[in-house]
Amino acid sequence: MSKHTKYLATGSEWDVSLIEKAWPIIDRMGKKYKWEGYNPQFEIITYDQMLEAYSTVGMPCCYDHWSYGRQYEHDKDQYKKGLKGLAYEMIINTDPAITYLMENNSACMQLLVMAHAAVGHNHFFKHNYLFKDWTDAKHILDYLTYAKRFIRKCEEKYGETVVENILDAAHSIKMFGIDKYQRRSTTIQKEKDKLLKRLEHQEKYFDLLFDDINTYNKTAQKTIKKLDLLDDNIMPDQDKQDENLLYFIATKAEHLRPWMREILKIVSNIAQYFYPQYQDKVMNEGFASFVHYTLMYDLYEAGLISDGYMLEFFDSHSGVTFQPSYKSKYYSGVNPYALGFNIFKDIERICKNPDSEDKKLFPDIAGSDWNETVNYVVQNYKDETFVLQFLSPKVIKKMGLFAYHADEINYNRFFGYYQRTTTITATEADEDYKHVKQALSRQYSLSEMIPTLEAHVEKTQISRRLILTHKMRHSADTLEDINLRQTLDLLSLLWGDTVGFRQTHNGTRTRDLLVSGKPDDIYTRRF
Amino acid sequence: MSDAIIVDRRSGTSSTVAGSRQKYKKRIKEHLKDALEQAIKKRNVKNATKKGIKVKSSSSATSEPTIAHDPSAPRDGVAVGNDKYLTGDKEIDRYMDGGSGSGQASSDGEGNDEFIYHLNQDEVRDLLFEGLSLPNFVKKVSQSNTVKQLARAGFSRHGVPANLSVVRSYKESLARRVAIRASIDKQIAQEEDEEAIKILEERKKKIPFFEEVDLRYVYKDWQKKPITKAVMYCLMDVSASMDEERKNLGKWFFVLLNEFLKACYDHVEIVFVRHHTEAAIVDEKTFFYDTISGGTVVSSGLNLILNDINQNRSPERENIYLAQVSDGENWDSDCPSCVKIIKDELLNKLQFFCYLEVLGSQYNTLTEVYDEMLSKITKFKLGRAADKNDVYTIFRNFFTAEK
Repeated sequence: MSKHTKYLATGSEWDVSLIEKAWPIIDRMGKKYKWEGYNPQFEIITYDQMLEAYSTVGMPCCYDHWSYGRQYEHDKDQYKKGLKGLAYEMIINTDPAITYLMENNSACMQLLVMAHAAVGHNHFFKHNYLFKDWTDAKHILDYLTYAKRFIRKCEEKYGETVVENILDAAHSIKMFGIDKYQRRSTTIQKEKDKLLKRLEHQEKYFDLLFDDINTYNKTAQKTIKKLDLLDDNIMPDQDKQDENLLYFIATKAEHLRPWMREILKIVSNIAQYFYPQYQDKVMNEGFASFVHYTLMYDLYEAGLISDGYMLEFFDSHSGVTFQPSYKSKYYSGVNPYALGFNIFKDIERICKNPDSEDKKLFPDIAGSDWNETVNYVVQNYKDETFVLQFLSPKVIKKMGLFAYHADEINYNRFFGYYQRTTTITATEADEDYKHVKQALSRQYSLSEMIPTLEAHVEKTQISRRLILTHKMRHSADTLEDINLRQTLDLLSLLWGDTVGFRQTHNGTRTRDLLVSGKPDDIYTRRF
Repeated sequence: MSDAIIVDRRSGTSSTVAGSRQKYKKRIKEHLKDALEQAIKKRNVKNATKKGIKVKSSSSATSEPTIAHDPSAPRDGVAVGNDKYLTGDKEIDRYMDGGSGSGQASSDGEGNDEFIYHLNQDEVRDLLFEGLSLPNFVKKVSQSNTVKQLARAGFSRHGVPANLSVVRSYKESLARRVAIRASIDKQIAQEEDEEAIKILEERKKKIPFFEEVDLRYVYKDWQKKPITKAVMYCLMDVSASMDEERKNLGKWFFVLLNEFLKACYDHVEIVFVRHHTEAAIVDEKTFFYDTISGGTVVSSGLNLILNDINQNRSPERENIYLAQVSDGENWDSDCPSCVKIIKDELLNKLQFFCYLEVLGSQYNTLTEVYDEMLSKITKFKLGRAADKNDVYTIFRNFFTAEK
């Protein structure tokens, strides 16, 4: 039949010509739905190179650190034992978008990768507000290259031990080295404008007769100093409670040399770049799955892929979106692919065929154009708000979601094991499904995933202390103890003086911990 | 605008993670050594030095601490697949966050976690035998101690395609082509006819690039190369006083020694001698596996070795070593004669003599005599081992290169 000659490919073998032939078609299909990302750069790699990519979170270039070596060895071992498979695709948030294709994927899988990653993820990276505001896709690779070179130069000049200590310490508070509320560059620009205006104003209204020239000079100098700092990308007036710990230490620690501060800033900037990914996992994977689902069907409708390919696609898709129940031994929490895909599919349904419940709960989108709505959602939501806004009772019922509260784990002496009491707080059978929705949405909020820490400096007669304060969410909100102590140890290396830790709940202090440090500790080998 | 770039990186040899792996290896090196020794204890030395080994260990050197919520604190969550619960139900043992069954989670934080590193045979050898060498390994070179090696010896017109020297052949072909071209040009200069010149030009173009006569092959010849030989005598006491445990320790020492020599030296001959009241030279298999017992006369073994040296070896041309393992027991009357043999005759023929006492009993007269008489001599080293760890430590002690 003439249809067969139109197939993009048959069988499982593939070569580069398949990519060259199929990508423009898939791209065009995606553009029909206004799905378009950065220009893709497909890289064909072996499984070993995929393992390498895993260890550095996909970055093709990153500074050397032993933890990446360890991750590689661990992943390789798991893979060789057959305990863990490799993702069939990986794409990173860059412009051009680097998309890894594994050489031993079948031809059908490569088409799936192009739909899922090069259209789905790519579009998401380019249009979702978190990624747009917090990451710079065009320059990240250059920055990583700069980081690698800078750190290597520091190693050559100052020795590997001290650089390793700094990186170890920086990594331990990587998740706290992020500006959470405003993108730094926009505030720097605003700050600069403000200070320049102030200088102009002072100059304009300086009165030779009545104003003291010395005071004028002094204030002018202060302002100029602040402007200099801004040129170096340092915000001058954030010394009260700062949430970006790495930045805080980089600017406030007294015993650090300038190159050490630069390393801390590098770690902070890279963490900043990865920040949106923790908050968008469900949406990102859900959307990419939704895209590949739509596009594979379109390819099939257009007669470009065979029934056999569709079967292979179904197999892969159902595997990826499989959600084991809480009883299963494979259960490891909510599968973001499953949740995200289900919600997007549900949004499509609400737009196309809303019933009375949908019209009541989602009046804004019921009956609207599904393509526009999906694109709008992709652009303006993150996981927390996505779930809060769009998780419907139907999806809750379909997945059997239920909320629970788990008490402290305690050791049962009688039976000789650990146990904890779990109380179910909301199920889909409830009248008001909002509880489940809110509980799930809260799970994706940053304050649930990462403890809220603030830093400030305390001067005593003998020491200048760095104090970290943990704002507890409730009275029993403790932190993992051994990890905490090890982290404070590392921080004392950077700070060169005593580092303290405090826990507060509703204003009352509940815990104090102090770790001492000396300025030279950072040069010595730790073990 | 959407011209996708396609890059094939499969053949790329540069690794993005090589530097990190090196750093990781350095960091866990100490711990790797310990872990390796633990692994080796399972008698896998031979496999390890041939094929490499996978090493597991847990160490705080590889922990990446961070500040995180305590998983055993009270928490809220959402789970999937509700089949029976209603709001208000309580469940005591099931963990909703992925751990199956009860009693699995521990409430203290993780400071240690296991790491796994793959070592290939070179890395095993380097780690296990790092810094070790045969002491006093003097270069004793002589005409009779030679080994034949293939070495390059110029070029030849005959050979196998694998030995084709492209550069050389190209040189010859260039010379030939230039010469032929020159002769044709000469003819053209003399020629008047258009047609003939055309034919000659064509001929110039058709000169073959390579011809049989051009080809040159690398010529390799056997050459005698003088080498330094070494001989290691392994003397083990298999008398009745050596029970299973002691014999195992002794064998363990010799296994280490064996692997060390095989891995690090090319031309070492190992001679296995075992003795009770009488001594015999045996092969490796018999030495390690065969069982035999009897009384103890150490001098029988020493005498046998001495005779063997006198008859078959020449100390001027070979480095001779002796490693003896015993539990220290010996006929009292025999000890002085042992010392006499060693001091008067053996020592000046040996480069190095090491003695290991395994689980010495209260009657370790031999060890005491050795200690008294010979400890001042630099060529002699004595060690006492109580378990496998000791054996390994002493083994390293014996063969550590002194600066």
